[in-house]
Amino acid sequence: MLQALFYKEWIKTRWFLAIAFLISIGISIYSMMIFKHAMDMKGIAHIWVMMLTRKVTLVHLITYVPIAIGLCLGVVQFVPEMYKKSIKLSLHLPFDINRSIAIMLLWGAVCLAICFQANFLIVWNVLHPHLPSELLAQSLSTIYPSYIAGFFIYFMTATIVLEPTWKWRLGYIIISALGLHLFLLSQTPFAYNKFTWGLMLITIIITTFSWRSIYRFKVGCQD
Amino acid sequence: MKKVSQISLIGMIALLLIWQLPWIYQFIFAHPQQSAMRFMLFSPITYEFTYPDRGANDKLVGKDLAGHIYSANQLDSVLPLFYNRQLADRNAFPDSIMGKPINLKEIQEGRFMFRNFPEDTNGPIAPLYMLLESAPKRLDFELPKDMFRCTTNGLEFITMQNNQIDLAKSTLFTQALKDVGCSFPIIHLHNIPNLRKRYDNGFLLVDRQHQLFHMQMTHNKPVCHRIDLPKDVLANQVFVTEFDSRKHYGFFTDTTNKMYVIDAPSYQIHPLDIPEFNPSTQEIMIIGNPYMWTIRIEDDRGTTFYGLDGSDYHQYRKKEYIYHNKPFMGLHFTSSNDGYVYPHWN
Repeated sequence: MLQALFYKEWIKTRWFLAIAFLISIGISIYSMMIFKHAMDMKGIAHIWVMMLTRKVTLVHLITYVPIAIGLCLGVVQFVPEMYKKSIKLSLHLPFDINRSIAIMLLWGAVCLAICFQANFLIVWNVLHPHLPSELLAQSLSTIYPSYIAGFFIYFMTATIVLEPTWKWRLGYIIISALGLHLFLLSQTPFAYNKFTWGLMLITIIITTFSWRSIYRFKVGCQD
Repeated sequence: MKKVSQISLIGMIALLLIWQLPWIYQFIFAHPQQSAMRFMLFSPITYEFTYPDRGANDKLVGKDLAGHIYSANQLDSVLPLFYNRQLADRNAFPDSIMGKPINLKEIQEGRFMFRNFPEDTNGPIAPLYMLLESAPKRLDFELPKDMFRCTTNGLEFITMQNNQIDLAKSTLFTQALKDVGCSFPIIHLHNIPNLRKRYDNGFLLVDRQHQLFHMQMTHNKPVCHRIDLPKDVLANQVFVTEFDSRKHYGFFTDTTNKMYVIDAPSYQIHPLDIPEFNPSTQEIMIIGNPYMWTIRIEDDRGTTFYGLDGSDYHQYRKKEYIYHNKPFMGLHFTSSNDGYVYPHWN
């Protein structure tokens, strides 16, 4: 059963994942090509000085990519379930519905993690031979809140799509917008160093919202 | 699971409301601080704080705290060191001020402005520093080949071209600082990492024992000085200055938030006659000239102006503005005191 559920998720998301993976890698490669080009044109010393004095991060293009991928994955994975009413079939499977939702969300989270990991590794591999740990941390410190925001928006999209009533959907959209604002309050390097735990805690907390939506769907809540 | 998700939802909504409601309230009902005076200068002619303002028909006038109102031309004469170009343009620049003969060139070279914000002191930075050659072969400064970091045992220079540690240079500079009595690690240091400047004052450093040091690189060699502090003074924050007059290396505050100026090239230290300046919570602006300094210190409680003598730094006058509109309490994630995002209640 477990295998079948994962296979179902694979069928739904495989094309999107391929595209998301390519876009994610493509944008990090493009960012790093800009870095290499600047290095060839102006020299690495110029980049160090710009990073130190102007707080340049080299990875600003990546900032919104994880958020867009998280949002689209949520839509691609859960909208067909609701649109084709196939979620009703899942509810009638001889399998605990809580576990069923957990597997769906786990699938999405693992796919996002792989996608973001690939993105991160490209940036790290290109930058770390040329930058000292302080400047490397400056660059990477601006993208990890975006990665966590990618997970946040994925879980909130799942909640919104699974929610059966528009009243609560609207409420969740407001929560998503305000919550996402928290992840994007500052683009300054190291700004989120004191609050990484908070971003992760919020993301873990909102993971549970999907179960509320599916419970309300199961008991037949309607507008 | 249903209960867990209900509790999580209530928690999340509560967090967002606690965060957003005070902000919405402030956004709708907030009033500007009525008592806040942003800009005024101490006059060496009237010995009063004087400020430009708009009079009838929106004309520029000058006002002072004694209640006098000046025309635009009179304002130039009351603040001759600030409006020296206006006066020179009208051939009205005075021959002497406070009984001392002056000339325009001396005044223009001696003018300076120094500002520091709490975020400059507390804000997140990459702890790497750029040491310039203080005696460049040509007038312009050249991009250095390395940067350094402070470790527990000294300074570590990293060559930018290959991202490798330059052991020889690291040892040379670490030893030079040790030779003048510096005990590592360095706890605070400051320089002005700008290539487009007239000269370079290098770094001011505070060591583990709160002692003060000055470090420059001249002809690729370290030039380090220990700056003797008065008894019981422990240096804390340091601020390098590179004013056109070249009369100062910079400022520093001690552990009791008393502020001092360091003369160049004598390394003499003079306390400023102001009660305290805490760089972590207060913003400072000093507009100075060889005769008179006006200092503005601002924090969330209010703004205080000081008029100081430009040679011995004794205080002529002080004016304090207290904010009566207390900021609305609430949960905030950002602060003007630092660049970090984290929850704090104020």
